[in-house]
Amino acid sequence: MPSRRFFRTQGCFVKSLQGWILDLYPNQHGMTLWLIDRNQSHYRLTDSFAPAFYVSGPEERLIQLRDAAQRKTTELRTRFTERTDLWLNASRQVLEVSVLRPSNFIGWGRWVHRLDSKLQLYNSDLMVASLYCWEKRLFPLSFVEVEADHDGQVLSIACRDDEWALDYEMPPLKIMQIRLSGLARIDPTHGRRAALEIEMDGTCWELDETGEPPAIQFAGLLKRHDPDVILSEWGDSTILPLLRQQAERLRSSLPLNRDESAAVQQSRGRSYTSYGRILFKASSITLFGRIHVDKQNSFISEKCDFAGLWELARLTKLPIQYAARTTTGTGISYMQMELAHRDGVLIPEQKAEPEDPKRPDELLVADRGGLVFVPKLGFTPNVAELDFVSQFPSIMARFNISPETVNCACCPDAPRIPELGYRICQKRRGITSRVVERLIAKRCELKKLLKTTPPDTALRMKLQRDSMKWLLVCCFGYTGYKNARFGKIEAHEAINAVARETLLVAKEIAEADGFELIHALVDSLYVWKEGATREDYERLSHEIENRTRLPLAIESVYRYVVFLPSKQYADVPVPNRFFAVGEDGEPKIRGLECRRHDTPPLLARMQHEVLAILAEAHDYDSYLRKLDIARAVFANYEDLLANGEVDIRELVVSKRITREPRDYQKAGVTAIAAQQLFGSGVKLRPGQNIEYVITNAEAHVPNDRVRAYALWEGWFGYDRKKYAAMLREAFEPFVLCVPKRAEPVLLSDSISENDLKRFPLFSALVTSRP
Amino acid sequence: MHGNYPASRRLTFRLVFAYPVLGGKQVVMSLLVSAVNADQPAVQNPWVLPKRALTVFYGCPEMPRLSHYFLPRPLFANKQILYLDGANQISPLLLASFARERGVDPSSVNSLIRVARAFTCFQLTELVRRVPETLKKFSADVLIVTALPDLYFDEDVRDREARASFEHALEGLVNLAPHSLSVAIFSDATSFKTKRRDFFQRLRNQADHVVKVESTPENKLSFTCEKNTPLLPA
Repeated sequence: MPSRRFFRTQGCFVKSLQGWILDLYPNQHGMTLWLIDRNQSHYRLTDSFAPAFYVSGPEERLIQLRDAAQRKTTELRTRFTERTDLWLNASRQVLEVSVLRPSNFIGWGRWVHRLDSKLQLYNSDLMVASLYCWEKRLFPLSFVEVEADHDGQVLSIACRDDEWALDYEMPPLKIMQIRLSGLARIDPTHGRRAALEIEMDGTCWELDETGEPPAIQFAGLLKRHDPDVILSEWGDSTILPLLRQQAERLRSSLPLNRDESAAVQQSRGRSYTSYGRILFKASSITLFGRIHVDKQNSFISEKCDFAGLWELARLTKLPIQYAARTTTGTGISYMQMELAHRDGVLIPEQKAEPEDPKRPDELLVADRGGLVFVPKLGFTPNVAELDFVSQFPSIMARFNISPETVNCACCPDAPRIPELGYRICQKRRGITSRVVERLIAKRCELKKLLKTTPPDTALRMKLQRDSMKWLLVCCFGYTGYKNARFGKIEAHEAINAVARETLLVAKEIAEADGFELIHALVDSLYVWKEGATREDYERLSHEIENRTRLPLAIESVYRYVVFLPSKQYADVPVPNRFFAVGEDGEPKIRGLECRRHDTPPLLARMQHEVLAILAEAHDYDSYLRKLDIARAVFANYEDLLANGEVDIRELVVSKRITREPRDYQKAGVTAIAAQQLFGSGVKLRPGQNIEYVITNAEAHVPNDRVRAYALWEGWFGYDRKKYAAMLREAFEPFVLCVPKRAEPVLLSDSISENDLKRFPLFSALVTSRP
Repeated sequence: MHGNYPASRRLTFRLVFAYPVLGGKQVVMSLLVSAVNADQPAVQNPWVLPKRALTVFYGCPEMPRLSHYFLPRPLFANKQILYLDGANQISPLLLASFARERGVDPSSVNSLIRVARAFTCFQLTELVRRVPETLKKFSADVLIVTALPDLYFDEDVRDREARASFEHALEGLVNLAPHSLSVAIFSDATSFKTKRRDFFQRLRNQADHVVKVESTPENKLSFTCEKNTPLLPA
């Protein structure tokens, strides 16, 4: 349906319209909304909104704050009200502070902190856009009906959409893609120079420095095509900053924003530590009225494409550009906070709920992770993998495990968690449990729908499902994560304890039914029984599901699984280093080189090619036959290397640096490459990835051992010996399950005692001889 | 004089044991705790926590681990310990091994300790502030706190918030004065590169005793008493 009578940026005048919310952000008078209608027209609207935060503390201090606010400004409205304390599950008197200029929301929270650091603030550091969505029951990309006056001021807005809908209409977005020509995964800040490629509606432009400056050409394309979305590769760190710099130098305008009143927001990159790893968060370029997504700086769009990103933005109610760049943990946190907000629960600024004091032996029992049964090494045919579906979220939903429900004060006689004895509240449903149960339900519904949906829609739905999987994956970890506002370590421990118990029950059931447990890892079991059919495994799955009351599914019945040993110790099994081939011939790979981000593409390609051959095998004998073919393929790769016929891009090693280049003490290959880049003027930060080619691993001069890829030139060549060794090592897993041929033992008259011990058959022969 | 440290400002204790240093960095301590006080008179024994005083131990990255070695003395004297672990380094197994070395059932030691870990500075502040409440349920004689103020150096936490939280933690420690507690803080603050180094100075100022612990070139521990100012009334 076309939009009707509204104020349009192009000049059309209408009173109401229907469309999708593309972008929203606070301004001095309320919220700016950008709508897209079915005709690809866009509208800029303003809706009045006064977000509120809450302050808790002694009454006299709150009165002082109220008076100070009245003296200081007319931007704030205060009133005493009651909100719920999550941990106490009781009402508390707080001062509500409403901010009439939403763009100053965070600043006023800081002002309260400066005024009286003893006051406790709640809801004060939330994204205003999300607060607006919660209050108005909207979400990014929701389809809405709006009534507005001729200035674009919203008179009424109503959502005609549901974020939990399975199949929904998306706006017809105009998407412009920008990237640099050449190898996409190499960071251009490391010195790679390439032309700028721009693609829109199937047309491609290549902009370089030979003609008109790229910034001017790009500005022209922006004006002409006016895209809703700029999808870039390295747009955050390189392309857009460079274009902006060039436009500034030339004193030329570059209309990246649609909203001319807002300045492009550029954040700085930073290094940080997470779970013991140094990581780097790249800078970002956020636009207003137009969406910019950098595929190289967006986990969710890389994994789940636009469909996943749209789904995530709709569910979490985070603005699209923020949802694209933030972690899924932030997404799940915002979903929890929305529920808390609706329940009138105070949302603390930081995680402050500490661990309850416990005895050291109690701590020892509680502070454990998932259960692992190490795999049986080698080749095993006809193995079924049974997976608990979203096990940890299911436990949270099924057993109401949420930070505020563990060891609550109101249920002293509640059922206890196995091993730990923690109690779970019986009177209120936990916030986390409520969030995850809706996500699980939607994923299940989508899964059912997928079976009856045409392929193009099915692909979109699969990506939607995947994005929800990422939300669910982190919701468990977030119960113990240091930055989770509603986290509590006891909830994390309780979930782990239930998961351990569940796995043990599953193992006992399988063994009682005559199955052998080949391997178990936290939420999955690999079981085997001589001659078992898929139906047998399905029966087992149902039995376990009935007993544990947690959903269990057959991930696959593999033709065979090969569990591999530790790289250091050939007889020590390790979880998560195996390959398997499913009934459909699809290989499943864990822990091999081709799964690692730092592996040269050549090695990964060789492993995939070999696995494709081995995937045709159905049993051990055919595996051996296929292995002979695979050896020939491997030999071909060796020849390519030895003859110098490999494209250098196939040999690039990618590594994450853990410190500043100058801080490295030893001349390891990563350090050498980092220092080469540093020496050529590249600014590197801990956590960033660098790429290099091994040129002569055994060179006496460290600088000759590797060359940063951005600085590599043909005459450097590559270290054939080293790459050949790496190639051999990458082939090794496929032959590990094949016993090495024993040396031929010739029967002779002089059989030693040792031989008799090694080969009992010989004993019989000896005794039978005259 | 209150507490067990002499008034002299730079007294170095040379202890009778050494511990191996692996790879030049990682320190493994596997000592018989009973051996540590062999030559020192009780008043000068660095392993004895001063009574009713706030003592800060700092100087090497192994401070949280070192804190364990202060526990057997009060434990075997049947005193109760509240251990607030900001470093997340508490080792129940090490405590159990101390008990076994003394021929004591570890469970009897476990019943005398309560541990609560903090993963953020805000949690550590909350733990310190809740100590009076905790003492009503578990009347501890000794309070151990690790990673104060180290945990407040987290760069993910804005300076203003870290500062406010740290101030609240210091207030929490002041509020413990009415309780007859030995308070020992184990900090590795001086090995951090941070703009918040003044936090440690604030803590020093508030402490009654400050003891610097260093590893000597001979792989021995030296304890240097840098401050000895009795604060709490007897």
